[in-house]
Amino acid sequence: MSTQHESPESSTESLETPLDRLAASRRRFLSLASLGTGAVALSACATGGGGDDDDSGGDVAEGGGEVSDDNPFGVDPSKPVEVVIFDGGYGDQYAKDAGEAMAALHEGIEVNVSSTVDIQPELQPRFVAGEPPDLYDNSGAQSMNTAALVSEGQLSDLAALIQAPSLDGGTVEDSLLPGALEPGTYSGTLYSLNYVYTVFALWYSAKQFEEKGWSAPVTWEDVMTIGEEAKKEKLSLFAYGGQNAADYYHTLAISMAVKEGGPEVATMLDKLDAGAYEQDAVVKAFAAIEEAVKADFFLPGGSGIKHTDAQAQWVSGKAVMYPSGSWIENEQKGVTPEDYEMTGCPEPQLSSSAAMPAEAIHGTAGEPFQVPAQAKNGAGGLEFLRVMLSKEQAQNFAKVTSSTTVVKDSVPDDAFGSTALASVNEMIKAAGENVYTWNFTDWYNLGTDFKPLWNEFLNGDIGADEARERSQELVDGVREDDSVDKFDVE
Amino acid sequence: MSTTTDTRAETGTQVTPREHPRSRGDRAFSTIAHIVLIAWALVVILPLLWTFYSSFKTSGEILLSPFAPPSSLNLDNFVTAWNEAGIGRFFFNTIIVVGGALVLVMLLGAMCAYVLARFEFPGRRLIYYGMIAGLTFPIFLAVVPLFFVLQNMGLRGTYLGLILAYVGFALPFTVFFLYAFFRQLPEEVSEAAAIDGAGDFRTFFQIMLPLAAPGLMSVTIFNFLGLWNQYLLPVVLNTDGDKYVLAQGLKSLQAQQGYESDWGAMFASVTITILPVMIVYAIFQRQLQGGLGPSTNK
Amino acid sequence: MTAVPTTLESPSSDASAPRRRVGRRPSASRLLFFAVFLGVPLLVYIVFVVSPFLQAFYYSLTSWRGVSGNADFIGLDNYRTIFADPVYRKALANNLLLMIILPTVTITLAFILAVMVTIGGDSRGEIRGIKGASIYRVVSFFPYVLPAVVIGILFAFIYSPNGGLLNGVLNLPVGLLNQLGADIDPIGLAWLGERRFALAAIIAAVVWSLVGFYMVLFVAAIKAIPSETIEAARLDGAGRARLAFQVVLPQIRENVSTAVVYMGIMALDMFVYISVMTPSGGIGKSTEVVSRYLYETAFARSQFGLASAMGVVLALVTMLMAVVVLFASRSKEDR
Repeated sequence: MSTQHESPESSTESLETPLDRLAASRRRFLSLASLGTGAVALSACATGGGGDDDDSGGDVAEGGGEVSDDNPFGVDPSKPVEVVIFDGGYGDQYAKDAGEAMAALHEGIEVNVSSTVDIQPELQPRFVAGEPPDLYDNSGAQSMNTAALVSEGQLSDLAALIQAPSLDGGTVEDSLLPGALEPGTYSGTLYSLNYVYTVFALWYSAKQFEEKGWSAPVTWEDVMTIGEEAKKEKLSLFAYGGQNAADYYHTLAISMAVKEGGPEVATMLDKLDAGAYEQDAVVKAFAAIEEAVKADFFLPGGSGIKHTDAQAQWVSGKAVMYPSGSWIENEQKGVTPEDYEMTGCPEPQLSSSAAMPAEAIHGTAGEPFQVPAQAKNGAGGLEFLRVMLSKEQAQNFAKVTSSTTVVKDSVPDDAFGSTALASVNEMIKAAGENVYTWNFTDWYNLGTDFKPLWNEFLNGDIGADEARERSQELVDGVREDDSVDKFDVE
Repeated sequence: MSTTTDTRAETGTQVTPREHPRSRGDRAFSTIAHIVLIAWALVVILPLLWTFYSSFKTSGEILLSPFAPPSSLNLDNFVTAWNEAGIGRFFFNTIIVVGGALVLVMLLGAMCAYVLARFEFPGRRLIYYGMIAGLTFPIFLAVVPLFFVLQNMGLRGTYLGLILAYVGFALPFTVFFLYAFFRQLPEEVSEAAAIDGAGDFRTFFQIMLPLAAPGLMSVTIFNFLGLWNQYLLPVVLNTDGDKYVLAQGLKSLQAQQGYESDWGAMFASVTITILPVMIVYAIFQRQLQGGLGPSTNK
Repeated sequence: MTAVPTTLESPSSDASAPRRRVGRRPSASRLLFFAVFLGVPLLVYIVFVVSPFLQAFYYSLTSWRGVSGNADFIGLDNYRTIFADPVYRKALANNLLLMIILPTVTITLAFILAVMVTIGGDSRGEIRGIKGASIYRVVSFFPYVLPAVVIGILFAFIYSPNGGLLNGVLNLPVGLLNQLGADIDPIGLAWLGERRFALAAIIAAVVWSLVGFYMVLFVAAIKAIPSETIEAARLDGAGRARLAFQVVLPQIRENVSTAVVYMGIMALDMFVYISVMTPSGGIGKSTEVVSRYLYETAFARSQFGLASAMGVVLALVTMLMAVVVLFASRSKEDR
């Protein structure tokens, strides 16, 4: 496995929707899991089953400066720090600001923050030459193959970072949201710090809800009641972009199913179980969606349009709600009316007897930051991350990008005037430990198959039973295909 | 031919006097034809006009009332397209790649067509038909292996790699069309050149090439249009965002590389893309018309 | 591939063309000349066009997943798989349908428009086109300069169920009738989301973009017909329709058959149009074509061997189509 290898796949995947892009970046990191199994097994053989598991890049060496609580990694102010940022949807301003904060913390230190949209083409030669930056954000369509980097021992263990004291007191680990470290951890080693936190929710206009006297739905029944009332006013409940984003409703359905039946429902799906789509909770969730389809609650014509068009119809007021990740506010900037007051609420429970509370959310972390093992100033890289994970910088990130980080309580209650961000903040707080997610759609890239399937389902061409049968066939197909590497699910 | 001419001569004198200055049928037909043509012209122009004026609208205006005229005539989208969306950069890349490929394919194509058209040698037919077959090869079947061919040669992600791929796929058409031109050139010319002592190289560059100029001109225009619109090759082979060509840039703008939809900038980019082609066409449309005919002149 | 030569000429079709023979012992300078003039273009062609195609044929017999190494030879398994796959069969059927419809519609329309602007003028006196012919001709060509990506985006807007141009135009008479007291619901069709219309809608967009090009092509060909031929037929009392189809059409037959081949090749591709207008292959795969499905199979599913088999089948269909069309038009000539 060479870091120089690049398949055409990575560069040409058609990433149509933000959901696809998130899936792709997760898939690329998650592919680490399957590969890692082999790598660990191999190293175990080579060392005769010995306890030496040092095929990772290992810990970051101390920076040469004096180690103290204020300088846990021993950063030497005379050594420059180099950070490379992926200049995608979040821009690079937040990183520049963090760089200034770090310079203020260690007087005289030189912090160089650069940005690019092409992480892989720019950094790969530098890795090969043994001169990587001290920290980089491995994101975007042109990100590096994390699996290959890990297996070659090119990445540092970030354990020191999370054990270090946070700038705001306590350890860094304590300052993070539950589940924040999971996506970057493999076999107990933390290789990536995923900085941005995405919450999946149902979005609506608080202004419209207030005018109509509706309140945010808690159960599916509430959703259907709003649908009935909306219909009376010639409005649709939901909009959907059937050409490329019908799978947003698959996400909604699975989310409701997990809430109904508990995290085991997600586990069964991730295991590609032969009865995955026959689980009671999943059956109920699909039936719920079918009910909405039969009641004509979807904006007509959805089968012919894309997510951009559907979302424009939604914010223009023709549809009432839309299921999406918390990127939606940023994505719809420039189209959303000024007084829309976009707000999110957790995806509803299917019944009042649901296994998980109403406040539970579907959330996951993205934007993996990594410290190369060969970094000249790895301590500086860790310190930069520690600064980024301070409340001040996390807050700045939220302000600049209208998005949340994995840092707890980093959004002030006024959320800089953004109702969407404020609602994300509230959802995260209310959920506490009740956060779930699933991986099978990302691992096995099933979005491609679910899009057309769900377009037919939402268009009323097929019923819930057929939709489930065909979903199960897809899952069975992957499970039985020996050429596809499977991921271990505990 | 001569019999036809005779018939005309005979019947012409008989028929002409009976005709009216302008028959009713003529007028009816002319009216219908104009209606059809005007309708078609409108169908063609309206979407183009729409593309053009959409580039002055904001994203909100475009998505929510796609066909309403812009509320104000602001040039923000063009500034964004040029600066932030990087259309200027895409433009530059496109000019390098398309320009380079155009020059190279015309040169290589003319050379190859000349040899095939003017010399008899074993294997000539095989090569010729091998080239014709290339016209029917679907590009998408080749792109994946091509990716690795360029990768192994260390040419992937370089201008040169993309240019060579463009040249390869434009060669069959070019050879093919120029073949017809070189066939029509009188043999006496090259014989005279040979008597003058001109070698093969000089005969080609100083005598044959100038004679084939009209053909070269129209093939160049077609190749330009074809390469300008080339999409699949750059999408697969040219993955470095800094080296994107226009068609790619437009697609990535549409698919939203970023996370915020900017439809206004996208339409401005489209306008910036098609204007130069329109201008090129307007300037050269006569040559294009003229150049299309020769092989039909029997 | 968008550019078009006017005719596909066989190298042996005009034996009269003089040609120098290369003797058994060509001089050194001539060898060099051949090496450069024939060798360099052939090298580029073989390396960048022929070899990838041959490799694709080979990969179609393997289970290659696009990651270097691990290309197990599995014989014709991939071909069995794709023909057992209903989506592939649907895609191929759509391509074959497009191969019939697209050339027919585009070329018929282009021919009619070309005839109008060339010989549609007064039936008396000198043969001439309709007034303003050159304006129509220039304008019609414009869509051809739009990149296919743009045409896809443009028509996706036109076909939008919400405020799209097409529904807007169709609703004009509806609105009028409603003002007169009728009560008809305004049309809100999602043209690209309806099984019945999606493919037709895409065909219309492609026809729109290419008619002007073929019209210009035919205009040039018609102008090259000796005017005596047309005048003679006209004086024989041929009406416009007869003139167009019985006199003009046979004269430009070669151009038409070339156009058919080009349109056919494009109908068997359609990648850009389909992937921009219906990115997942349309509802119920109603607009799925082989090229898009192949792209998805290769790049989203990483099954390059399987994708290559899909492409090989389509390449064979393409070549067969080209040979049949060209052979049919040539055999007529011989008769």
